[in-house]
Amino acid sequence: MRSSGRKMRAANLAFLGRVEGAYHPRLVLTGVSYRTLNVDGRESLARLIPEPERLAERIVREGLASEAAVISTCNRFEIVSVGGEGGGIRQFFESLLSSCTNPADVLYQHIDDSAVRHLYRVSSSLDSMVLGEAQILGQVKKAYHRAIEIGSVGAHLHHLFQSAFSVAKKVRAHTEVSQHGVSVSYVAVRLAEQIFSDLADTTVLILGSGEMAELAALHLCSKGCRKIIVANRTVERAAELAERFGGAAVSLGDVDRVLDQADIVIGSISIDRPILNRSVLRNRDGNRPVFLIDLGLPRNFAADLGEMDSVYLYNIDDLAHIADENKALREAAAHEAELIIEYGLVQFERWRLKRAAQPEIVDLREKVRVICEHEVFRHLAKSSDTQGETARELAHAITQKISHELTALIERHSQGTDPHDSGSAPLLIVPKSKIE
Amino acid sequence: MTHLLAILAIVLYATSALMLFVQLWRSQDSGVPWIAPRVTFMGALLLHTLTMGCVIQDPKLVLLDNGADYFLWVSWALACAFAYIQRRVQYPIIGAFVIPAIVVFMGSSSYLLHKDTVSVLGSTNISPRQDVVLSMLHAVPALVSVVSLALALVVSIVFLIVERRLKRRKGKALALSGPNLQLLDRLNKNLVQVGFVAISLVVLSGGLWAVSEQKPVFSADTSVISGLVVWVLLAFILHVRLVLRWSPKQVSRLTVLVTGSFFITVFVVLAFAGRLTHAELWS
Repeated sequence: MRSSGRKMRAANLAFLGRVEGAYHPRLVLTGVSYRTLNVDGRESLARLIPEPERLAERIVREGLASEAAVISTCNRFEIVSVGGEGGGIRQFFESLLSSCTNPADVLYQHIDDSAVRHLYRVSSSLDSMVLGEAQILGQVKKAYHRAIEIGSVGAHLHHLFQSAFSVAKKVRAHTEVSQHGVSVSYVAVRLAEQIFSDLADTTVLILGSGEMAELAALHLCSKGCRKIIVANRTVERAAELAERFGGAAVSLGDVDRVLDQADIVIGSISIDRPILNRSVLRNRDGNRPVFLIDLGLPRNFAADLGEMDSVYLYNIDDLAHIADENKALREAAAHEAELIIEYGLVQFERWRLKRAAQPEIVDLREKVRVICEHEVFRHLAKSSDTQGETARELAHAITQKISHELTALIERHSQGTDPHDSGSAPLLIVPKSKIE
Repeated sequence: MTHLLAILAIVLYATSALMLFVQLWRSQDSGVPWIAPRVTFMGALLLHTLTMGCVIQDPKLVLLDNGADYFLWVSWALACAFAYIQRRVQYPIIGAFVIPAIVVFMGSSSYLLHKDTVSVLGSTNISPRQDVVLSMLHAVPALVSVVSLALALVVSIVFLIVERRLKRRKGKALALSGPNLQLLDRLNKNLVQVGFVAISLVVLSGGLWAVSEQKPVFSADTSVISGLVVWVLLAFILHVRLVLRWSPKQVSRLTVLVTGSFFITVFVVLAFAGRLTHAELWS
């Protein structure tokens, strides 16, 4: 699929090159991302350009490009434009970056199909720091809508962004790029959902006040967990954390007392020996499952607890291992996503070809009409005047028929559906000068 | 006509089960649309229902009079129960096990049709009114109990699969699109409770009727023995859950062991004896 797509694209580009006089604006994508610029540089850039959408307006106003949109996220800053490949936008960008870094090292510029492919990959989250993350599509959509609001988007960027959204949607729907969670706290929540029917009915006990435990608790709360108990050596610190989740605070000595209430226990306390072992859990109701998430080092829960019935023990390595497995699954799915992107690219180029050929088609129809009328009237000049109106109608009918056939042929060719066309011999549109 | 409808229903059930297995193991790469196995299943259930209509219309066959009819009704009740459960719990893994069970019961019905076609009930002096009362208090609860037992077996198998994956702490624990453990355990408990109430009604109504007709309460035919065995099994499962407070995993293991053994025994007995009726009682 990929090779046939490339062949088709090569034929289309060859065809485009032969459309003499056709308006063929270039699509340009210029920018920096987390791959080329570190966080300090991106931070400086964000400070320099507090209102990125205004930048697009300025680019169009100053004539650097006919259309422009700015994609600005914490991981990338990119300008998508129609025209401006001659150095205008690059120089503009370099002047912005020169104060914080060496622009030549960090700036990249993609033109035409490379620019389209890059935007498709960005929208489909294949170029994201966390492969398959869901936020990027929303950020690209936001950039597009902002550009529409300020009026810097025309037909080309409109179609480019719409096709990017369509490709991203297909990638999400038909591949597993976004399917498997890749963060430790996400994995913990998904596991909890596999054990409990309703997280709103569960009670979460947090041992310690570590950052990881807090993050996992935050994720669980976002999924509906309401009852949170925080146990810590210092009750004041526990109370501080509990207040954030609207829960209760207890001292570490009271853990045995509250353990019976807990369905999910997150351990992230620094302790010499396991705080939970078989003897502590043996008194629990065996009919109620308990999910133990051990984020502490040394481990907070005895390793053999996982062998007990209704006890599901995962330590930080288990969670990280699942997250890594999921990451590998996403990477495998990314190859399928690339095929969808290549197909989208072919579709977009067909649209561009059709659009590029449009003025030539109009011109051709007009020329055919003029030639037909001229020839018919030249011959009729020798006959009677009463036949003039009939001759005009005849000329019009012939013009319509020939023009229709020619137009259909050109369109079929530009869409690659001409049954007689192998794709290797693109139709040559006769230049305006030769018709005349 | 009845046979043709039944065969078409079996084919559609088997296709639906196959699609569910493909969906389950290949996840999103399966190429099988999400809706396809469900539509196929509903089509099979429709044909199955038409088959039941033809069976009722046949004057030679009395409701639940012989093993062939009984298993056809069991498979239909199982399909209806699954259609109901599917409305609430839409997971391919349950269907992938329930639908083959439906096919097995339908297939057994077809097998019994050739071995057990004599209407023994027709030779007794049961009035139509008594027939209706017996059906409502005895035959229908018997169906409910067997269906509950079969579903409890499937739910327990699914519970053990999901539980095993979670215990192994691999990424597959999340990849499996199965229901959560609490839901499966609750479903298992409810099915066993419903089944126990139903089979108790079957035993009571059967005993009372036998006493009123001055027939022996216990006889050595397959229906009476299997009914009592089901009652003991369900009572045992409930006892270990509610009184001995066994964990859900232990209850599921026990359910798989005892109900699995029961169904295997029933099918083995059928294969050799070929009868599932009150033949001894009526003779």
